[in-house]
Amino acid sequence: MNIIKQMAIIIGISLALGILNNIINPNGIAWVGTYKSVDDVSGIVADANAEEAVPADTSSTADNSDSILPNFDTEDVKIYEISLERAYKLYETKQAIFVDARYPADYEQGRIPGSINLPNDMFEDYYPDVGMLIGIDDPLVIFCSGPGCDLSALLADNLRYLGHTKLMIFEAGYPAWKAAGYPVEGAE
Amino acid sequence: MEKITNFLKHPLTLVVCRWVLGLIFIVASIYKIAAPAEFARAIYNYQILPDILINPIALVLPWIELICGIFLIVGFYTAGSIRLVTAMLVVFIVALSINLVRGVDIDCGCFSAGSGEGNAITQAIDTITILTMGEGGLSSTLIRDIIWLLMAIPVLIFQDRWLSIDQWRRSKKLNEHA
Repeated sequence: MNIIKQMAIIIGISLALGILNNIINPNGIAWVGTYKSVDDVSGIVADANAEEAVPADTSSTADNSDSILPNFDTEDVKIYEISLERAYKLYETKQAIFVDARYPADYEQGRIPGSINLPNDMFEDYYPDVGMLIGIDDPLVIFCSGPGCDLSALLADNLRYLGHTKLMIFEAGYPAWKAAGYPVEGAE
Repeated sequence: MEKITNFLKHPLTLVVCRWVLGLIFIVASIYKIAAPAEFARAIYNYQILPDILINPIALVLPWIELICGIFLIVGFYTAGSIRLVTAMLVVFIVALSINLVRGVDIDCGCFSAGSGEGNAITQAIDTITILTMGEGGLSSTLIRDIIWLLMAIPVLIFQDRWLSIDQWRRSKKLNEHA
Protein backbone atom coordinates (compact mmCIF):
# COMPACT_ATOMS: atom_id res chain seq x y z
CA MET A 1 0.00 0.00 0.00
CA ASN A 2 2.82 2.31 0.96
CA ILE A 3 4.52 1.73 -2.38
CA ILE A 4 1.33 2.41 -4.34
CA LYS A 5 0.92 5.62 -2.38
CA GLN A 6 4.46 6.65 -3.27
CA MET A 7 3.85 5.97 -6.94
CA ALA A 8 0.57 7.86 -6.86
CA ILE A 9 2.27 10.85 -5.23
CA ILE A 10 5.06 10.85 -7.83
CA ILE A 11 2.56 10.67 -10.69
CA GLY A 12 0.42 13.34 -9.07
CA ILE A 13 3.33 15.75 -8.70
CA SER A 14 4.37 15.04 -12.29
CA LEU A 15 0.89 15.71 -13.56
CA ALA A 16 0.75 19.01 -11.70
CA LEU A 17 4.18 20.09 -12.90
CA GLY A 18 3.36 19.00 -16.43
CA ILE A 19 0.20 21.10 -16.47
CA LEU A 20 1.92 24.08 -14.89
CA ASN A 21 4.93 23.89 -17.17
CA ASN A 22 2.78 23.64 -20.26
CA ILE A 23 1.13 26.90 -19.26
CA ILE A 24 4.35 28.82 -18.71
CA ASN A 25 6.61 27.12 -21.27
CA PRO A 26 6.66 29.20 -24.48
CA ASN A 27 7.05 25.90 -26.37
CA GLY A 28 3.87 24.52 -24.83
CA ILE A 29 1.60 22.33 -26.91
CA ALA A 30 -2.11 21.58 -27.07
CA TRP A 31 -3.25 18.77 -24.77
CA VAL A 32 -4.93 17.06 -27.65
CA GLY A 33 -2.79 17.10 -30.73
CA THR A 34 -3.84 16.51 -34.28
CA TYR A 35 -1.43 14.29 -36.10
CA LYS A 36 -1.52 14.22 -39.81
CA SER A 37 -0.30 10.97 -41.20
CA VAL A 38 0.77 10.07 -44.66
CA ASP A 39 -2.68 8.54 -45.17
CA ASP A 40 -4.15 12.02 -45.01
CA VAL A 41 -2.01 13.28 -47.87
CA SER A 42 -3.94 13.03 -51.07
CA GLY A 43 -2.64 12.75 -54.58
CA ILE A 44 0.41 10.61 -54.04
CA VAL A 45 0.87 8.61 -57.21
CA ALA A 46 3.37 6.12 -58.48
CA ASP A 47 5.07 7.73 -61.43
CA ALA A 48 3.88 6.28 -64.70
CA ASN A 49 7.14 7.09 -66.46
CA ALA A 50 9.20 5.23 -63.94
CA GLU A 51 9.47 1.97 -65.85
CA GLU A 52 10.72 3.28 -69.14
CA ALA A 53 12.94 5.88 -67.57
CA VAL A 54 15.03 3.75 -65.26
CA PRO A 55 16.79 1.34 -67.67
CA ALA A 56 20.42 2.18 -68.08
CA ASP A 57 20.59 1.32 -71.80
CA THR A 58 20.81 4.96 -72.71
CA SER A 59 20.02 4.88 -76.41
CA SER A 60 20.25 8.60 -76.83
CA THR A 61 21.64 10.27 -73.75
CA ALA A 62 20.42 13.75 -74.46
CA ASP A 63 16.79 12.83 -75.07
CA ASN A 64 16.67 10.32 -72.31
CA SER A 65 17.71 12.82 -69.68
CA ASP A 66 14.68 14.90 -70.62
CA SER A 67 12.29 12.04 -70.12
CA ILE A 68 13.26 11.01 -66.62
CA LEU A 69 11.13 13.64 -64.97
CA PRO A 70 7.48 12.76 -64.45
CA ASN A 71 4.90 14.58 -66.54
CA PHE A 72 4.06 17.23 -64.01
CA ASP A 73 0.57 18.62 -64.08
CA THR A 74 0.65 22.16 -62.73
CA GLU A 75 -3.14 22.34 -62.61
CA ASP A 76 -3.67 19.27 -60.47
CA VAL A 77 -0.43 18.87 -58.54
CA LYS A 78 0.43 15.30 -57.68
CA ILE A 79 3.22 13.93 -55.55
CA TYR A 80 5.14 11.37 -57.55
CA GLU A 81 6.73 8.40 -55.86
CA ILE A 82 9.99 7.55 -57.55
CA SER A 83 12.46 4.72 -57.08
CA LEU A 84 15.93 5.04 -55.64
CA GLU A 85 17.53 4.43 -59.05
CA ARG A 86 15.41 7.10 -60.58
CA ALA A 87 16.28 9.51 -57.80
CA TYR A 88 19.94 8.84 -58.45
CA LYS A 89 19.47 9.45 -62.15
CA LEU A 90 17.89 12.81 -61.42
CA TYR A 91 20.74 13.56 -59.06
CA GLU A 92 23.39 12.63 -61.60
CA THR A 93 21.83 14.70 -64.34
CA LYS A 94 21.10 17.56 -61.93
CA GLN A 95 17.48 17.71 -62.98
CA ALA A 96 16.03 18.10 -59.52
CA ILE A 97 16.80 19.72 -56.20
CA PHE A 98 17.13 17.26 -53.34
CA VAL A 99 15.23 18.23 -50.22
CA ASP A 100 15.98 16.41 -46.96
CA ALA A 101 12.94 16.38 -44.65
CA ARG A 102 14.77 14.88 -41.66
CA TYR A 103 15.84 16.66 -38.48
CA PRO A 104 18.89 18.94 -38.71
CA ALA A 105 20.93 16.64 -36.46
CA ASP A 106 20.43 13.73 -38.86
CA TYR A 107 21.26 15.95 -41.82
CA GLU A 108 24.46 17.07 -40.14
CA GLN A 109 25.50 13.51 -39.47
CA GLY A 110 25.20 12.42 -43.04
CA ARG A 111 23.55 13.83 -46.13
CA ILE A 112 23.33 13.73 -49.87
CA PRO A 113 25.82 16.32 -51.17
CA GLY A 114 24.00 19.37 -52.43
CA SER A 115 20.75 18.47 -50.71
CA ILE A 116 18.83 21.13 -48.84
CA ASN A 117 17.62 20.49 -45.30
CA LEU A 118 14.01 21.47 -44.73
CA PRO A 119 12.90 19.58 -41.61
CA ASN A 120 9.17 19.07 -41.89
CA ASP A 121 8.66 19.31 -38.14
CA MET A 122 10.26 22.75 -38.15
CA PHE A 123 8.73 23.80 -41.44
CA GLU A 124 7.59 27.22 -40.32
CA ASP A 125 11.02 28.10 -38.93
CA TYR A 126 12.96 26.85 -41.93
CA TYR A 127 10.83 27.64 -44.94
CA PRO A 128 11.32 31.42 -44.90
CA ASP A 129 15.08 30.92 -45.39
CA VAL A 130 15.26 27.63 -47.21
CA GLY A 131 12.38 28.55 -49.48
CA MET A 132 14.63 31.20 -51.03
CA LEU A 133 16.80 28.43 -52.44
CA ILE A 134 14.04 26.62 -54.28
CA GLY A 135 11.95 28.07 -57.05
CA ILE A 136 8.25 27.41 -57.17
CA ASP A 137 8.68 25.44 -60.42
CA ASP A 138 11.88 23.61 -59.56
CA PRO A 139 11.52 19.83 -59.62
CA LEU A 140 12.05 18.66 -56.05
CA VAL A 141 13.06 15.21 -54.84
CA ILE A 142 12.00 14.94 -51.21
CA PHE A 143 13.14 12.19 -48.89
CA CYS A 144 13.63 11.29 -45.25
CA SER A 145 14.84 8.17 -43.47
CA GLY A 146 13.10 5.49 -45.43
CA PRO A 147 9.91 3.42 -45.23
CA GLY A 148 7.99 4.25 -42.09
CA CYS A 149 9.21 7.83 -42.15
CA ASP A 150 6.39 10.01 -43.38
CA LEU A 151 8.19 13.33 -43.13
CA SER A 152 8.84 13.44 -46.86
CA ALA A 153 5.18 12.97 -47.83
CA LEU A 154 4.08 15.53 -45.26
CA LEU A 155 6.72 17.99 -46.45
CA ALA A 156 5.65 17.46 -50.06
CA ASP A 157 2.09 18.21 -49.00
CA ASN A 158 3.19 21.39 -47.23
CA LEU A 159 5.19 22.52 -50.25
CA ARG A 160 2.24 21.79 -52.52
CA TYR A 161 0.09 23.94 -50.28
CA LEU A 162 2.55 26.80 -50.74
CA GLY A 163 2.38 26.46 -54.50
CA HIS A 164 5.24 24.19 -55.47
CA THR A 165 4.22 22.12 -58.46
CA LYS A 166 6.95 19.60 -59.22
CA LEU A 167 7.10 17.25 -56.30
CA MET A 168 8.67 13.83 -56.09
CA ILE A 169 9.35 11.65 -53.07
CA PHE A 170 11.60 8.66 -52.92
CA GLU A 171 10.45 6.48 -50.11
CA ALA A 172 13.62 4.43 -49.76
CA GLY A 173 15.22 7.57 -48.39
CA TYR A 174 18.66 8.38 -47.11
CA PRO A 175 19.52 4.96 -45.60
CA ALA A 176 18.92 3.22 -48.94
CA TRP A 177 20.83 5.92 -50.78
CA LYS A 178 23.80 5.41 -48.49
CA ALA A 179 23.54 1.63 -48.65
CA ALA A 180 23.54 1.78 -52.44
CA GLY A 181 26.92 3.47 -52.30
CA TYR A 182 25.70 6.73 -53.79
CA PRO A 183 27.52 9.91 -52.74
CA VAL A 184 27.13 11.08 -49.16
CA GLU A 185 28.92 13.60 -47.04
CA GLY A 186 28.95 14.57 -43.38
CA ALA A 187 30.34 13.53 -40.05
CA GLU A 188 29.68 9.79 -40.33
CA MET B 1 25.67 -18.00 -7.14
CA GLU B 2 26.00 -16.79 -3.60
CA LYS B 3 28.82 -14.50 -4.67
CA ILE B 4 26.60 -12.95 -7.31
CA THR B 5 23.79 -12.44 -4.82
CA ASN B 6 26.20 -10.90 -2.36
CA PHE B 7 27.48 -8.57 -5.04
CA LEU B 8 23.98 -7.58 -6.12
CA LYS B 9 22.78 -6.84 -2.63
CA HIS B 10 25.93 -5.01 -1.59
CA PRO B 11 24.99 -1.50 -0.45
CA LEU B 12 27.50 0.01 -2.87
CA THR B 13 26.05 -1.86 -5.86
CA LEU B 14 22.59 -0.64 -4.96
CA VAL B 15 23.77 2.94 -4.58
CA VAL B 16 25.59 2.86 -7.91
CA CYS B 17 22.53 1.41 -9.68
CA ARG B 18 20.31 4.06 -8.12
CA TRP B 19 22.63 6.90 -9.06
CA VAL B 20 23.27 5.75 -12.61
CA LEU B 21 19.58 5.18 -13.32
CA GLY B 22 18.67 8.43 -11.58
CA LEU B 23 21.16 10.42 -13.62
CA ILE B 24 20.03 8.78 -16.87
CA PHE B 25 16.38 9.56 -16.19
CA ILE B 26 17.10 13.16 -15.21
CA VAL B 27 19.16 13.72 -18.34
CA ALA B 28 16.57 12.01 -20.52
CA SER B 29 13.79 14.18 -19.17
CA ILE B 30 15.35 17.56 -19.82
CA TYR B 31 14.98 17.91 -23.60
CA LYS B 32 11.51 16.39 -23.43
CA ILE B 33 10.39 18.99 -20.92
CA ALA B 34 11.96 21.82 -22.91
CA ALA B 35 10.66 20.73 -26.32
CA PRO B 36 7.38 18.84 -25.85
CA ALA B 37 6.44 19.15 -29.51
CA GLU B 38 9.52 17.24 -30.62
CA PHE B 39 8.99 14.55 -28.02
CA ALA B 40 5.34 14.27 -29.02
CA ARG B 41 6.43 13.78 -32.63
CA ALA B 42 8.85 11.06 -31.51
CA ILE B 43 5.99 9.28 -29.69
CA TYR B 44 3.80 9.70 -32.75
CA ASN B 45 6.48 8.14 -34.94
CA TYR B 46 6.34 4.97 -32.86
CA GLN B 47 2.81 4.51 -34.28
CA ILE B 48 1.58 2.73 -31.18
CA LEU B 49 -0.60 5.16 -29.25
CA PRO B 50 -3.82 6.77 -30.44
CA ASP B 51 -3.36 10.46 -31.30
CA ILE B 52 -5.44 11.63 -28.37
CA LEU B 53 -2.96 10.17 -25.85
CA ILE B 54 0.22 11.40 -27.49
CA ASN B 55 0.35 14.97 -26.20
CA PRO B 56 -0.76 14.24 -22.62
CA ILE B 57 1.94 11.59 -22.37
CA ALA B 58 4.51 13.88 -23.96
CA LEU B 59 3.68 16.50 -21.36
CA VAL B 60 3.57 14.35 -18.23
CA LEU B 61 5.94 11.41 -18.79
CA PRO B 62 9.13 13.56 -18.75
CA TRP B 63 8.18 14.90 -15.33
CA ILE B 64 7.74 11.37 -14.00
CA GLU B 65 11.21 10.61 -15.39
CA LEU B 66 12.68 13.71 -13.76
CA ILE B 67 11.10 13.19 -10.35
CA CYS B 68 11.91 9.48 -10.28
CA GLY B 69 15.48 10.34 -11.28
CA ILE B 70 15.88 12.86 -8.48
CA PHE B 71 14.20 10.55 -5.95
CA LEU B 72 16.45 7.63 -6.90
CA ILE B 73 19.56 9.75 -6.40
CA VAL B 74 18.57 11.18 -3.05
CA GLY B 75 16.91 7.92 -2.03
CA PHE B 76 13.46 9.28 -1.30
CA TYR B 77 10.39 7.16 -2.04
CA THR B 78 12.90 4.73 -3.51
CA ALA B 79 10.51 1.80 -3.64
CA GLY B 80 7.91 3.73 -5.60
CA SER B 81 10.47 5.43 -7.87
CA ILE B 82 12.25 2.24 -8.84
CA ARG B 83 8.95 0.59 -9.71
CA LEU B 84 7.96 3.48 -11.95
CA VAL B 85 11.42 3.51 -13.56
CA THR B 86 11.17 -0.24 -14.17
CA ALA B 87 7.71 0.17 -15.65
CA MET B 88 8.92 2.94 -17.95
CA LEU B 89 11.90 0.88 -19.10
CA VAL B 90 9.62 -2.07 -19.83
CA VAL B 91 7.32 0.19 -21.86
CA PHE B 92 10.29 1.64 -23.78
CA ILE B 93 11.64 -1.84 -24.47
CA VAL B 94 8.27 -3.05 -25.74
CA ALA B 95 7.83 0.05 -27.95
CA LEU B 96 11.33 -0.31 -29.40
CA SER B 97 10.82 -4.01 -30.00
CA ILE B 98 7.55 -3.44 -31.84
CA ASN B 99 9.25 -1.05 -34.22
CA LEU B 100 12.27 -3.27 -34.65
CA VAL B 101 9.95 -6.09 -35.67
CA ARG B 102 8.17 -3.74 -38.02
CA GLY B 103 11.53 -2.85 -39.50
CA VAL B 104 10.97 0.86 -39.12
CA ASP B 105 14.02 3.00 -38.47
CA ILE B 106 12.65 5.79 -36.32
CA ASP B 107 14.46 8.11 -34.00
CA CYS B 108 14.13 6.68 -30.51
CA GLY B 109 13.39 10.05 -28.92
CA CYS B 110 15.26 8.90 -25.85
CA PHE B 111 17.54 11.83 -25.21
CA SER B 112 17.03 14.30 -28.03
CA ALA B 113 14.88 14.91 -31.03
CA GLY B 114 17.61 13.77 -33.37
CA SER B 115 20.70 11.77 -32.69
CA GLY B 116 23.92 13.66 -32.09
CA GLU B 117 22.30 16.57 -30.33
CA GLY B 118 22.19 17.39 -26.68
CA ASN B 119 24.55 18.10 -23.83
CA ALA B 120 27.76 16.47 -22.71
CA ILE B 121 26.04 13.68 -20.76
CA THR B 122 23.68 12.64 -23.55
CA GLN B 123 26.59 12.70 -25.98
CA ALA B 124 28.61 10.55 -23.61
CA ILE B 125 25.74 8.05 -23.42
CA ASP B 126 25.48 8.08 -27.22
CA THR B 127 29.22 7.56 -27.55
CA ILE B 128 29.26 4.68 -25.06
CA THR B 129 26.32 3.06 -26.83
CA ILE B 130 28.01 3.32 -30.21
CA LEU B 131 31.38 2.13 -28.89
CA THR B 132 29.98 -0.89 -27.10
CA MET B 133 27.22 -1.91 -29.44
CA GLY B 134 27.95 -0.26 -32.75
CA GLU B 135 25.70 2.02 -34.73
CA GLY B 136 22.78 -0.33 -34.51
CA GLY B 137 20.10 2.34 -34.33
CA LEU B 138 17.09 0.99 -32.52
CA SER B 139 18.63 -2.39 -31.74
CA SER B 140 21.54 -0.91 -29.78
CA THR B 141 19.07 1.38 -28.01
CA LEU B 142 17.06 -1.70 -27.11
CA ILE B 143 20.11 -3.47 -25.68
CA ARG B 144 20.97 -0.32 -23.72
CA ASP B 145 17.49 -0.19 -22.22
CA ILE B 146 17.66 -3.86 -21.30
CA ILE B 147 20.96 -3.25 -19.47
CA TRP B 148 19.33 -0.41 -17.56
CA LEU B 149 16.40 -2.65 -16.72
CA LEU B 150 18.83 -5.22 -15.34
CA MET B 151 20.35 -2.48 -13.19
CA ALA B 152 16.92 -1.69 -11.76
CA ILE B 153 16.28 -5.24 -10.62
CA PRO B 154 18.67 -5.31 -7.60
CA VAL B 155 17.17 -2.07 -6.33
CA LEU B 156 13.71 -3.60 -6.75
CA ILE B 157 14.58 -6.75 -4.85
CA PHE B 158 16.95 -5.66 -2.11
CA GLN B 159 15.92 -3.19 0.52
CA ASP B 160 19.28 -1.74 1.56
CA ARG B 161 19.16 2.00 1.09
CA TRP B 162 22.66 3.12 1.93
CA LEU B 163 23.06 6.90 1.45
CA SER B 164 19.39 7.64 1.18
CA ILE B 165 16.77 9.81 2.79
CA ASP B 166 14.60 6.71 3.18
CA GLN B 167 17.29 5.08 5.33
CA TRP B 168 17.78 8.22 7.36
CA ARG B 169 14.04 8.52 8.00
CA ARG B 170 13.83 4.87 8.93
CA SER B 171 16.67 5.10 11.47
CA LYS B 172 15.21 8.30 12.89
CA LYS B 173 11.90 6.56 13.39
CA LEU B 174 13.63 3.60 15.04
CA ASN B 175 15.51 5.94 17.36
CA GLU B 176 12.30 7.62 18.36
CA HIS B 177 10.79 4.30 19.27
CA ALA B 178 13.83 3.24 21.23
